[in-house]
Amino acid sequence: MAIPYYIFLIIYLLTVLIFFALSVLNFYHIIRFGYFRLTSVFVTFLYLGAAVVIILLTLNALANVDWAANIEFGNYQITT
Amino acid sequence: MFLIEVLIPIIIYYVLKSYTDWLADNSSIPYIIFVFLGGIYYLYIMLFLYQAWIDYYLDLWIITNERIISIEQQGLFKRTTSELRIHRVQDVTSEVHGFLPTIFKYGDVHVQTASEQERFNLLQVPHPDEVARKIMALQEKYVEEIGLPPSEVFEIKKSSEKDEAKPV
Repeated sequence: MAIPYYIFLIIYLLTVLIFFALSVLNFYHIIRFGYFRLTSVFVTFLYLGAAVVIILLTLNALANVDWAANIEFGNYQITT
Repeated sequence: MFLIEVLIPIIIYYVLKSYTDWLADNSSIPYIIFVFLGGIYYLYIMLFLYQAWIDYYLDLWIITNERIISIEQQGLFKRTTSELRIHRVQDVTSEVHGFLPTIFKYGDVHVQTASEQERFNLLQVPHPDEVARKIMALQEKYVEEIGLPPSEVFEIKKSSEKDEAKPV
């Protein structure tokens, strides 16, 4: 049985997607309750900037990975 | 505490790099899993911090010469707005507790009303002593200028009668 490496990438992207969905809820709160001022804009951009930097660093650290490769396990041969 | 949380993946990285060869190859499975978990960990720490900041930033207290209005954001899906008429204030307590609150001069203000209701709490406000003094001054001014409403006088009389009736 073989599991392709890109499965890990898909799981990572799903968690990033959940992260952005929760972030959108937070942005909604900031806008909805009328406090979209300089402080909140500054903190929100700082937050988004840091998030993008973390994602880019993560993907950069994995730039050499061949995502099409497989993890092989369970290749047993039964001989009689 | 926050610094320790930030340093955890870095410490784990150096421990694994020093004592094992799991992270030696830049395309091995342990390396991939470690980098992904580290990335997710930092992303969610950021999210937690941002959410905590929003929780603080969306809390609002308005003190006027007639009432105290408290708007509190609790988590993502709970927002409470409560109002207290200034003449109902009985006593006000300010509390500065801890190292950081003492250094940066912030703390809690607890407003006690005549009724048996829960205390009205203003949490993590700057200069809590000043706020407490201001509320008491506003309450005294209100009572002096306008006086207590008849229902309030009746309530106070009733409670003082009850106190007198208690056997000593």
